[in-house]
Amino acid sequence: MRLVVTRRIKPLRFGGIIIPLLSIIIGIVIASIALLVLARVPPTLVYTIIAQSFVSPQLLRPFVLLTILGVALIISFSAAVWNIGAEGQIIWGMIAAGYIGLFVAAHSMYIKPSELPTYENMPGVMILDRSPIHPVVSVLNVSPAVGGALMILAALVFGAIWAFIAGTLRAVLEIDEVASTLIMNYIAYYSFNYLVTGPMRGLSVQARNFGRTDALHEALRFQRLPIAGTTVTWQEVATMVVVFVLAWVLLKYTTYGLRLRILGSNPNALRAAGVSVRKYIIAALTISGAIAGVVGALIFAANLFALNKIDNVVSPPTQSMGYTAILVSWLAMLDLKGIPISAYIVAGLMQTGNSLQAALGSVSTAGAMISGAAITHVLVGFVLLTYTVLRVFTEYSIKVVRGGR
Amino acid sequence: MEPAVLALILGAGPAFATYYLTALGHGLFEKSGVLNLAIDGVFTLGVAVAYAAAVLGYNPNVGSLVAIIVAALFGLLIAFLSTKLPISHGAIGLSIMFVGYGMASLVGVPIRSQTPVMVTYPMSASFYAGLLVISVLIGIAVHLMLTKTKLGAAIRAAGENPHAASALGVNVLKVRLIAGGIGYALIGLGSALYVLAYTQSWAEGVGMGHGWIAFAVSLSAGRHPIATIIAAAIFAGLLNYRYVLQGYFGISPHITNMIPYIAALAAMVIFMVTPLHRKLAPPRALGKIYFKEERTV
Repeated sequence: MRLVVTRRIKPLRFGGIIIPLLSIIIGIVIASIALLVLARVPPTLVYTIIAQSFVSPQLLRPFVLLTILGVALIISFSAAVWNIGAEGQIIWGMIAAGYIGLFVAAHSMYIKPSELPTYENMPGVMILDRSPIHPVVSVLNVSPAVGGALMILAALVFGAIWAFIAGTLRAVLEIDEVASTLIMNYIAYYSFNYLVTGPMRGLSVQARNFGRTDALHEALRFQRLPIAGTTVTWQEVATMVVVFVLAWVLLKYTTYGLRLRILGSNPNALRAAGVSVRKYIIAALTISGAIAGVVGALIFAANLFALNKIDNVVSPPTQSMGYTAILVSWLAMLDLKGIPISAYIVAGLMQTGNSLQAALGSVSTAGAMISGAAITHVLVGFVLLTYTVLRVFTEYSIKVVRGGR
Repeated sequence: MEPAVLALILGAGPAFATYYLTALGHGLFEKSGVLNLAIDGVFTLGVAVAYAAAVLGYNPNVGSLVAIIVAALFGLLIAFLSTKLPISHGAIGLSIMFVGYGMASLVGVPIRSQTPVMVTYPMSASFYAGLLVISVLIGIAVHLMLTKTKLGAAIRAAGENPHAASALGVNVLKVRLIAGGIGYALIGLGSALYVLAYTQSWAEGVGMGHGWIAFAVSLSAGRHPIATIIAAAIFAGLLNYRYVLQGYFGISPHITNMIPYIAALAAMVIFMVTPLHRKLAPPRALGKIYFKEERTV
C-alpha cells in the first residue's frame, strides 16, 4: 500500500472553511486525550468548558486583542517576514506605556502623613498608599485623553523600534528573523523584569516589597464598555477598528501594501522592478511591531495598571498572546477578512485554558497546579499542528493506492 | 594545569554537555535539510520528561533514557512530515514548539505536586569530567559520521539538493528520518542533562528559551560539530559563571539572565559579518519544501 500526493488543479472547494473547522475539532480531541492521560482531566469537562468559553462574554477582550495582533502579524507574514517576536514588542509597548503613565502623564510622590487629609479630596490626585509613615499619592499632570494618547504613541514607537532591530538584522545581515525575534522576546522579558524592579519600581509599600511599579492613576485607566461579564474597554475596541481599517487600506489599496505582498510571493520580481527589498523587509517588521507595541499599552492601561515582574516565562503579562496570535493569522490563511473569525476561535481556546485551570482543582489533584497558559499551549499547539498537516489537502490530494512500490 | 583552572573548567561540565549535545543534534538534523524550529519546545518537553521519569524511576539514567526516546520520536515525526508532505518546515516546527511547551507542564506539574524530591546526577568532579569527555567524543563521532561515511554523505546530499540526491539513489526520507532520530536523541540527552545535572531543579517553564540558545550556538558555529565545541564552551562558561559576575560586579540578576540571549544574538551577528558564514554556509535546501509531482509516500 502506498500514498500518492498530487497537486490539485483547482483548490479544494470550501477548503478555506472545512479544513480549519476540521483541524480545530481534531486538534481539540488530541489535546483532550493528552490532558486525560497526563493530568487525568476528564474529556467531558474539557468539551463542556470549551462550549461555555465560546459563548462567554469574557471572550470579548482576548478577541479584540488577538484581532489586533493577528493584523499585526499578517502584515509581516504576507511579506514572508516571520515576526515571531510580537511577545517582545508587546512587552516593550508595556514598558513605554508604563513609563508615560507612571512618570509623565502622572507621577507618584511621597507626602507627609499629616498632609493626607489635604490630598484626600484634591482633584487630580489619587492616594496609592495610606501607610502611616510614608503615604504615596499619584498626581495627574495632563488630561486623561492626552495621557492615553501619549501612552499608545509611546508603545507604538517602542514596539516599532524593537521590531526594527530584528528587521535590520534580517535585511542587512540576513540573520533569520524567526530566531532573532524569538531570542529578542527573552531579552525583552528580562529587560522588563530589570526595569520594573529597578528604575521603574514604585514608591508604595507593596511596590517596594514585591518589586513592581506603582499603580496607574485612575483617571488614566481606560474605560470599560458597559457590557456585563466583560472587561474590554472602548479604547481597545476603537484601536481594533482603526488598526483593521488601516491595515485593510494599506494591503489592498496602496502600492506599499502591494509591494509587501509581492515581497511575500516573489521577491525577485520586486528586485527586478528596482524596488529595495531590504527597505520592505524592515518596513514589514516595523509596522508589525508598532501594532504589537500598541497592544502592550492596551494591556497595561485597560487591565494590568501596574507592572509586576515575570516570575515564570510560561505566564508573562502578555498571556503569551504574541505567540497565540501566530495561530490567528495562520488559521485565517493570511487573509485579512479571516482574522476576526480566527481571532474568535483562538480567543475561545485561550478562554478555555483559563477556565479549565480554574476548574481543575476540583476534579484532578494531579493537574491542579497546571497553569492556564500551559493548557492553552496544548490546545493551540495541537490545533496548529493538525491544521498545518490538513492544510495540504486544500492544494494537494493524497490517494491511497494498493500494490507495491 | 592549575587546579583552580581545572575546577573552573569541570564546573562548567553540565552546562557544556547540555548546550553542546543539543546544538550538535540540532546541527545534524539541519544538515539533512530540515529547518528545525521545534527545538525549544521539544527541549522544554525533554527537560520535563527527564525530570518526571527520573523521579518515577528513582534513577537519573531512566530520566535521560526516556527523554532521549520521547525527543527522538518527535524528531522522526518532524522528519517524516516535512519530507513527505509539501508543508512549510516553519509551520511544523512552531506548532510542535507549542505542543512541547504545553505538554512539558502536563508531564512535570503533576509529578512535582506529588513528589517534590528531585533525583539527579551526582555533583562530582569525576562525573563532570566524564560529561565533558563523553560529549566531545560524541561530537567527534558525529563529525566522522558526517564526513567519512556513506550515511554522512547522504545526509549532506539531502540537505544540499534532495532532488539530485534522490536521483542518485539516496532515499531522502530514510536519511532524514535517521538524521532526525539521532539529532533529536541528542537534543533529548542535552535536555535531560540540563535538568538532572545542570539546574538540578524543576518548576513549570524550566528549560524554555534554552533550546533557542542551543539553536544560536549551532548557527554561530555553522552547524559544524567541531566548531560547535568552541561555541558551546563559550556559552557554557558564560552561563555557568554569570552569577559570579553578578556577585562580583553587583549586576542585577535580571541583567545576568539576559546575558545568554544577548550573547546568542551577538553570536549570530558575528557569524554573519565575518567570513565564517561563507566557510560554513547553511545547507542549500534548508527549509525548502521537498516535493515531487505525482510521487509516492
